[in-house]
Amino acid sequence: MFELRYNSFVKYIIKALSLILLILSSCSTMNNRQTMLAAGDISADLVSGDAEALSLRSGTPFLFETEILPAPAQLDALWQGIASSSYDFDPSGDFTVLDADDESWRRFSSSREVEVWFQRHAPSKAALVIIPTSSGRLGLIIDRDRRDRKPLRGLKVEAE
Amino acid sequence: MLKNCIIISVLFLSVFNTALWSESGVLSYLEGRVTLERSGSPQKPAEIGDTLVSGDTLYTDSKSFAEVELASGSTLSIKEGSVFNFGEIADNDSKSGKRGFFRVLLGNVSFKFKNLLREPEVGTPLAVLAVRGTDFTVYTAPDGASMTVVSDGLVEVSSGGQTVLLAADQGVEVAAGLGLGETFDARKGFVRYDAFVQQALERSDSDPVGSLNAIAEQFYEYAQDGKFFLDSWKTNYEEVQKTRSQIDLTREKKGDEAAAEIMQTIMKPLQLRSLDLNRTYRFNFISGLYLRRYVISSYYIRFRTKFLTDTGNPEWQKFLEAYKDVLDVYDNQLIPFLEDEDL
Repeated sequence: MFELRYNSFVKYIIKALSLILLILSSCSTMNNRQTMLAAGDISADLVSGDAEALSLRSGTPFLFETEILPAPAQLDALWQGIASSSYDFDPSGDFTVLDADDESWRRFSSSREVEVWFQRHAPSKAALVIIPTSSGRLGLIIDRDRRDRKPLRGLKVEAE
Repeated sequence: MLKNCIIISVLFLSVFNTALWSESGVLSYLEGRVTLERSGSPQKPAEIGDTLVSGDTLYTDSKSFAEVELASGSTLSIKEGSVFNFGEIADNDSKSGKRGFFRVLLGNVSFKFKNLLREPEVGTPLAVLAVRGTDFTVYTAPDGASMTVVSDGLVEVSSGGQTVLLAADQGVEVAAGLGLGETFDARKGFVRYDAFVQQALERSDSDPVGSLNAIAEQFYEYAQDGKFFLDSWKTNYEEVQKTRSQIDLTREKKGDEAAAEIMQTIMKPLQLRSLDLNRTYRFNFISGLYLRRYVISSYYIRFRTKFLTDTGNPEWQKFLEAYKDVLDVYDNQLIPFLEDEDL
């Protein structure tokens, strides 16, 4: 009888702890609307060509299309190059937010190393945000973890 | 099966190596944001007091600086915007069978060596420096070109089969396709890193495909040499297996003493050769990986962003063709021999 009560009590504690963990994790994770807002900030930096702000928002190793960039100096070069390009980054439609999955790497490259990047370096709560622009469309990899001060982890630029 | 053999062998060799000798350093000072990447682990913010071991990489951003102190009392100053790898290479002349090999993959690093009984070597994407003196700086541009400037002592710079010995106040540049340049006057105030980088970028801008192809040649060489030494390692591994069986058989038939004789005269040299070949093929594959990561990627960033809205431009199309050839070699001749942790 005592054992039965003890087991029920343990089960209750485990359930309560799981619930608390779930609540805590949802607090630290951005939902789709919040992810869109974060993508909006990045998009605004792209439109204004603010290379320094983009460097500050970007985490390494960063995935730029087929390239993995482990060094901050490479990110600086990337954002300076992007900022001085004539690509029109102004969004021309609604953002689409997708959860990164086992196949997301194929959107960037068919290379094994990009597949490994998604397995080893992509944030565990990564979102893929697609932004249509008049020049084409952008694919951003964004960490949904709110604690991440450098949520931008990848970029693909597609021209029309 | 082969991969398992390699892993077992590498584990054995790693333990064996560590017991013999291992180069290490301590992060003695830093300013700004410095990142440390330990082989196979995620990047993390570096802190004063962090110990650096073989395989570690330090990254400084545009406003940061780091200083590393080696066990010998030597110091390395890693300037802003740099990538520095702390490694080692095979060295048959050394008691431990290896020596320090520091790579300046991007940016600039100044070295002040003390107690030069066991000189390390310094590598850039295209050159190798043998340290014969104490005080020098290595600059590496995004296109892989390097400039070495000696303040005190002697440094031997080698690239593409050519070698030059630099004395104090002398410098030399190495660029892809151009090889080793002329020695120049490098007295204080005569050398400007920003001008060197600007010149390197202008050179690659004037001929993107030619510059990429020149880098690719070195890249292919690393892939081929890596494969050659890996094949030699496999052959050697088969010899080790055969000898192991021979030792067991001898022990059964002739006793422990006869088996110990084979162990000493045949097995031990084979194991040392295995160690040497293992380090050499890994060195080549990793050198190829670094060339891909820090130099070829810089070319891609530069030209991709330049032609972002003009993808039909023939100049971009030609570059893309050459770039795809490099990626093809990378995917088929390098990646299969790298561990996921390397990537």
